[in-house]
Amino acid sequence: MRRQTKRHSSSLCMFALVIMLFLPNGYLSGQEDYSEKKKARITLDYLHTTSETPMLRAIIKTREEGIYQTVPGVKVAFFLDQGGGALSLGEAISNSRGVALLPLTTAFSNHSDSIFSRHFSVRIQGQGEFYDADKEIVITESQMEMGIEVIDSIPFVQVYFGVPDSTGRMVPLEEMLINLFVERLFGALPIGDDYEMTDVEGLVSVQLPAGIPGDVEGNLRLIARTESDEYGLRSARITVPYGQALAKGHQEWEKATLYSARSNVPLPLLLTVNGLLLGIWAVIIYILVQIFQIRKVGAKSSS
Amino acid sequence: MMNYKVSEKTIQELAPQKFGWRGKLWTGVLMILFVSGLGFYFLQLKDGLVITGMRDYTSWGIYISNFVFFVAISLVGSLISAILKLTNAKWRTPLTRISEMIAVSAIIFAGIIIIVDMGRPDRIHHLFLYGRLQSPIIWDVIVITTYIFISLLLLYLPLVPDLALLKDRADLLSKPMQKIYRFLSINWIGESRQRRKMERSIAILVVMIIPVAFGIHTVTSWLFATTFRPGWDSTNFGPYFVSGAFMVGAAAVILAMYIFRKFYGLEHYFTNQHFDYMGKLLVLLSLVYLYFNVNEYLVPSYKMKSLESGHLEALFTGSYAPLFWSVQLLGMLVPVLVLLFRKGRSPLPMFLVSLLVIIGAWFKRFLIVVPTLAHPLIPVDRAPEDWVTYMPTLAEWSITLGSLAGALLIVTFMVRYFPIIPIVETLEEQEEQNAEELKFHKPSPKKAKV
Repeated sequence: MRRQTKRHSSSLCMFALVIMLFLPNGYLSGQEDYSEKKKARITLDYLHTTSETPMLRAIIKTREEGIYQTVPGVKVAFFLDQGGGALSLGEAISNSRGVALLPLTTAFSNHSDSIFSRHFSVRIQGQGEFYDADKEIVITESQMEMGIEVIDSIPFVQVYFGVPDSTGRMVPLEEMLINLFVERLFGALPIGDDYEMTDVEGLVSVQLPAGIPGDVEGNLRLIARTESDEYGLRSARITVPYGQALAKGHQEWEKATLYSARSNVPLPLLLTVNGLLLGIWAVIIYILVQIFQIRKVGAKSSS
Repeated sequence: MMNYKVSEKTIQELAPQKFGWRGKLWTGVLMILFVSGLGFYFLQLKDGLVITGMRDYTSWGIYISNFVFFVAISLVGSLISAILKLTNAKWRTPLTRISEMIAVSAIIFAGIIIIVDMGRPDRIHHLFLYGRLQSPIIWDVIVITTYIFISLLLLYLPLVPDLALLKDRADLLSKPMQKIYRFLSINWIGESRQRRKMERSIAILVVMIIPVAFGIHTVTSWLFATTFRPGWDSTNFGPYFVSGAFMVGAAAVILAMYIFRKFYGLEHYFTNQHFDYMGKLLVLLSLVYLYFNVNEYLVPSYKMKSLESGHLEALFTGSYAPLFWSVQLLGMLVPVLVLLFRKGRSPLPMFLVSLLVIIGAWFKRFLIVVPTLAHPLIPVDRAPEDWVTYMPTLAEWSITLGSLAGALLIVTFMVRYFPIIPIVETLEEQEEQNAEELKFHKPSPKKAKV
């Protein structure tokens, strides 16, 4: 018996050894080897879509095999730097694309009454694999509004861009580059010229082309974007009823085919598949019950 | 009355036996292959599918070929246990247990290999949480899960009387095995109510497993046929896959019969007659599969639509031609020619032919999956070289071999611990045979007077 146990334990040891041989380096060591630290490169952006919560976005990259690659799983700390020191805004962990996003909610709004230029920073500290790194940006508050003005039955998209003057009052900003788009399923369709600049009134006006396919009611989602070091990535969105409505047939197509979304599963398929499944599994359960009954009959007869 | 001497001899012969050195060597080799596959799978988990040869063109490589192969093999359970039972072929008795063991191990590894093919196996629950009922992949998940349960039940239920017969045999089983047998034998004493329930359950299962078995391989074929791709865009794919599956399943049973007959000395149970019947069955199944093959290739090659031509030329005369013609000739035509002759249906030629059929069947699945993907509808302009040609990497081969070894390990362990041939059923058949012989030899009253 003891000899058998010994033989078993030696077979187990052999088995464990073979497994260890095939495991990648460092798999069993329990901790990773950080002897060679890497430099992290941080890109920091301020994202603000009108009437939505502004956000800070940090993208973490590192140079590997000669090219910059995004780094997931890095803890990034965000700060609002003030005269008296840095106010912590929160932390976020970079996702699979190396992006760490922090919505600027309460902590930020409490300190946003009187200052129109803000000094944001991000830091990576004590991450083991990386040297400490930081990045700063200074962002000035701005105002971006978007609307539609119909002139002679022709819809024009109007975008207003304003910035605070020395007193803090919003005034129009001239010669700000604004890009306009119509939202599509897999991207954005540009409308207007490549270089649409705001005029003295801070306005850009672009004629909305006719006949752009919208949803079943003809709604289009329009997007205005601008990007600058001073104001960050600003955007505004509106939905307008100036697109071409999808034909009814298309609506049916969306609902009925096997290719459509999960929520549009055709009723006959739903009933057939679930009916078959229920039928087959009911039989399997019936047979399991029979097995228990066989056991019961045997127990009774034996006793 | 049961002849004790005959039945005891039968029990001794059919009870699970300890492995000799050959059995241990076989198990050791399988373990090494399995563990090495497991090691490479850890590597794949760590580094991702980039360690495979799969790229943007050929995104289904030998893992999916192997999956289709496993699903095909698993159909043998329904062929031997169900179809032959329903056709009242009594000679099938010694083959049922082996075929169910093969079916269970194959379908379990079909489920496992599909997870191996997933880039993010940690998200497998998304299939159930967010799966679209319109997707054939979901149908496959559902039908495979169902088939695993039915196959397990069909393996387990006929095993119960054997477990009950052997549970107290300390001379045949170790103590832990006796305990397991006792638990699994669910207090079976062969009482009439128990028998009725058992017979009813098995009868239901053998009927139910047939549509589910057809379903499992038809749905697997739809994974391909529901796409508009050369080589896959076919309404013939369901029966084409099912017939091929029955053929390879029959070959797998013949292979197992030969091995167990040789190494367990079961010549009385796996007789030359059994090989003859299985040989004839294999010829029939091969001819049916050959017919579907002709359909599958002749009609598209007659039309030679521009969409199909690249794919077909690659198979007939291009880079896949040696493999394609080898599979068609050695895996389908040669078996038919050999097995048509009586001598060809004796054990050794049958073993060799079945080996050819099984190897051919594996590469046949490769030829169904890979060449089509290598010829996309809209080829990428200036695509990198490794997208256009697919060559499985060492990791893929090792994981694939590991999965095949894993399936064989399941069969090996089941054979080691459970009877390969249904003992009670065999005893009952022997008893019936004895009774008939007695009846036949019993002198009539008139003759007795004389």
